[in-house]
Amino acid sequence: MKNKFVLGFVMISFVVLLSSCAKVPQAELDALTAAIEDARANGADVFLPTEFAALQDSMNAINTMVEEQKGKLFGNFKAVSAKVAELTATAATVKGNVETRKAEVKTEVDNLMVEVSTLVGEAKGLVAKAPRGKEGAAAVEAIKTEIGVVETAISEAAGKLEAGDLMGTLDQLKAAKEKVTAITTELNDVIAKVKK
Amino acid sequence: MRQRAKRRKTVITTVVLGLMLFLVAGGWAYLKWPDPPMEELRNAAEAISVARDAEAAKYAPELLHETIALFDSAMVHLKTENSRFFLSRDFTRVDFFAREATIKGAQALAKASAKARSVHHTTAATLEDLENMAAEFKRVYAPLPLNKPVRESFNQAVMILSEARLAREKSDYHIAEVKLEKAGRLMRESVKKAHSMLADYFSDYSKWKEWAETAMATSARQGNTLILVDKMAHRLWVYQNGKIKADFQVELGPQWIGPKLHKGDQATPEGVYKVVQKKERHRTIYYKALLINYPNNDDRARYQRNIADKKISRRLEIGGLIEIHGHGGRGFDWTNGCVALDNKDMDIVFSLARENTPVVIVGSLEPLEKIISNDKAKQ
Repeated sequence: MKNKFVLGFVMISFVVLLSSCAKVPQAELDALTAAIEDARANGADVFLPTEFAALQDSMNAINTMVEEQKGKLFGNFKAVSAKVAELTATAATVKGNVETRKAEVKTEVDNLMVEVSTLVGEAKGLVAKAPRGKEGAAAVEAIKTEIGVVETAISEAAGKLEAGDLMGTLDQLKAAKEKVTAITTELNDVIAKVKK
Repeated sequence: MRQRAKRRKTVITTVVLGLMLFLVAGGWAYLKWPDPPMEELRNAAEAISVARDAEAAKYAPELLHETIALFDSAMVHLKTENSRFFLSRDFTRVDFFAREATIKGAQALAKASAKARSVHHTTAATLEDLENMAAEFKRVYAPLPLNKPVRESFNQAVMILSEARLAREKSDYHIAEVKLEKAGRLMRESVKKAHSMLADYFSDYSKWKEWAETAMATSARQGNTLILVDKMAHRLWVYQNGKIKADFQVELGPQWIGPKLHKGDQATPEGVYKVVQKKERHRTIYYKALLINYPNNDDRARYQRNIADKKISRRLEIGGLIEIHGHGGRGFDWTNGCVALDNKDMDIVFSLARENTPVVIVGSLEPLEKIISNDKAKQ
């Protein structure tokens, strides 16, 4: 009886000893998945697409490592735990960088919105002052229509901004600025020529 | 003492036997333990990573999604098999999905790479084509009194073209491609509508040509003075004895394309007229003026037809008091239908004209194709 007890104890101890490294770091894995999802929800896929893609690839590699160890007779999750800790820190960094990038883009968008609106006002003023060119009233109407299209673009950009599409807003405002700058330059050139 | 030693020996023997049994069992389990296809799974994960680096999400999104779906299927099956008792694990499906994912990933990579290269070139070519189309529109059609929807459509196209160019500069070729498609559609629509309007107007070209040639031949034959106005060119010529005596820039009504249909339409009439009255400075607010006999019989007939066809309201009058007069030189079309000249030019025209001097006003002395090709040649 005693021998059976000892035998049983030894075998159980041996199994426990060898399986002490075979626990999946599930809590850490769940935290990592949440961290990556958090980064994505904050716009990492839009503002830092390369970094976010690297996070996803690393997550795939970790999942593969986990299943590889789970499939073994005596799995070892120490390396997995280390990778999970590293990637969790990276995900937090990416999330922080996204916030920084979003703030930069938002500032640029806000400044552009003011700048383009100011330029449109200036262009309208120049149209009123501009001498009539050879192309005639049709050209004046054309310039007014061009300014109208820029104003529509500003409204659309404001709508996109409200919907949270920062990058789309930025691109549209840049194009609007380019257009209204061209109109203003043309009008200023005409006025300058007449003054000479 | 002997009994204790004997017991100790039994325990040691039991432990050793137990260990040996454990090792044998462990060895047997180790040999029988099924190996999941980890290398195939790592290859599949690598294929996804490489495809992503090649921007497959932009240029081959369906293939990339399929690759990821296959990899996910492999992982799901792996988890399922790992949860089974080791002797009943079967990784065949895991292996299958992992290999399929690798193949699909390679396809995504190839397609994305090819598309990225082609989009880089095609967007450059399309951008150039559309910028040329915009330049042509500005030269040929923008100076015309186009309607607001056509102008807005064109200007919107130009703005989207700018966005496409900015996207290319950032190497966002797939965004550039989408924007170029939209800009191209709007631009072609604008050009089509503007050209249709112009082509429709020029359907009267043969009639204008006949009026002008007949009048010039008469001027040459009878040795008299002729005033000829080309609306498209915004020019006025004074012929004497069939030869050009004077040539001036003129300004018209803002809606100069087309004949005059009624009072207040801001259109300059087209037809064969004559000077019916010369007005010196004290008799006109426009410096000097030559009153012509608009409406003529053709104008009246057209007016009646339009009333009968309900194209214009009966309440609208046909109009009159169309003159060639001064106070022009403003650089744009501003009259209510008259032909305006700079005062010094008007002095010359006034001096050459008499009562009954023929005045022929045509849409254009040149065909549309020549006008468009001349504009291209001037670049």
